[in-house]
Amino acid sequence: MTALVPAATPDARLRSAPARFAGPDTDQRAEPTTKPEVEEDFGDFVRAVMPGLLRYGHALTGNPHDAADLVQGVLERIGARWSSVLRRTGDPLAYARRAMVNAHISRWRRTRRENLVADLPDTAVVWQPDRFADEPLWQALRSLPPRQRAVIVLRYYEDLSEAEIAATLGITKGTVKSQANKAMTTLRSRMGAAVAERGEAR
Amino acid sequence: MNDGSDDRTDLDGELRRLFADDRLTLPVAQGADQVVVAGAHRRRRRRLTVAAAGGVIAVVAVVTMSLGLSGVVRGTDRTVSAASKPPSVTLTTTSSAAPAPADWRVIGPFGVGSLRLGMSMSEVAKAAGIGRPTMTTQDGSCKSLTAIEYATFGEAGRLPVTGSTMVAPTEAPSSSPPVGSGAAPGAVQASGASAMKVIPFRIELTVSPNGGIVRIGGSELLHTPEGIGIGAQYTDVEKVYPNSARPQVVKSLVLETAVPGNPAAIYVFDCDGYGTVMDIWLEEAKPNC
Repeated sequence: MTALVPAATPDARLRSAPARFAGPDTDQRAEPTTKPEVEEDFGDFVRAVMPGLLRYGHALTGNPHDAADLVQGVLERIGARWSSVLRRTGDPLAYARRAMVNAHISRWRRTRRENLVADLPDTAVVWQPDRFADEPLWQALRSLPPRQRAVIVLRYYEDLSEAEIAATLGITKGTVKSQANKAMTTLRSRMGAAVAERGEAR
Repeated sequence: MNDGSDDRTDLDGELRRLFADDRLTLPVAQGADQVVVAGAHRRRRRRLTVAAAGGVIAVVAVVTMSLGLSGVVRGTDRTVSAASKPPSVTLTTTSSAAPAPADWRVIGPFGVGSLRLGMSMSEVAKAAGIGRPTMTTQDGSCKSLTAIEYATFGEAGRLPVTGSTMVAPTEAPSSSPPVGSGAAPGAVQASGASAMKVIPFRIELTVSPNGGIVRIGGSELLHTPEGIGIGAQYTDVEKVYPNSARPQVVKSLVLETAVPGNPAAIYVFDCDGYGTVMDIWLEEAKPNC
């Protein structure tokens, strides 16, 4: 198993990509033209955004394995069409995050092929300890269906508006609202039950 | 009086606190970026090689299987470089009667290649010519296998294969490359070429707790019998599978449609933010997990 790399800077969310990759109007990046340039450019992008995307994936999926798998799958697909993605989007990081949300909502999780996340053994037969095992809200979040969870993550992790969430997911604002309401109702109910259990345990 | 607004505020605040928690941050494995770059390179190469070969067909000789979290068997990534000699990769012939030749690029209506929805792991192992994998599920949910990996030999002419053997061509190559497959337009050229190239690709399976396949897909070389492949547009899918075929359109960037000829299955087309099909899956319409 590879050695741990120290975690990224405290604010590992990386909501915006380095200026080189941010937006079509930047004059800081010349579009790579040769194949080596394309690969190097994509490699730079991956190194810059991976910590933030892994964290985002962790929030979306609820576990490190699925987060790593989600990030790897999306980045590989983007890399396979890197020049085209740059031309069409101008903001590959935003594109990557959106692709992650939609891949996550897709019915089944992708299989885990490589370990992008350090310190998780290749051949685990038992699940790794859950970092949030003592966090009732996290457990409640994990119980939400993927789309409801995605709406919550987009709202509270990404700080997106209803309109922005609707555009990201390709759904109407009404659906965003109803998914959010259902999610919050479920969370409130589960949190209430958790508080009651703790009260009884004392 | 508590009108619930305090609760809402509390929950809002708790969610923001949770998503700001350092425990969300995952350590990045050394070399992870190289893994991704290499994976992207492989995908690009596969796509371009298929396109350059004009949608050529010869398929599959090597099968390896790697299992992810729940299993331990880890296969190897076989890439045989272009060579004039016949492939020297391991071919494990089945001892019983060989299944009918299969095109591993077509997904549906019942499966991919010699793999079928509902197949048990024993049957999968037999079709793939490998030992039966050991797999456990932790919580009764469906489990995904990392991949069954197949090497694709590109050559003008058709070499239909089973999962584990190659069969001599019995018919001339025919069909035009599918919509969005990335293959060049036009008919496949006549045989005569001697050089062979290998394009490794993966098929991914999801297996239910009782061990049956509930989902197949995950390869960028796949296309449906109706011609929808990776790179097709959302609108192409809607045209090919119109409402009259009982599609269920999920109002996001995931399209689900009925499968012509197999009422027990659905196609799932995962699209990116621009409506381009990125993945195609064949799934049981009513899985038991």
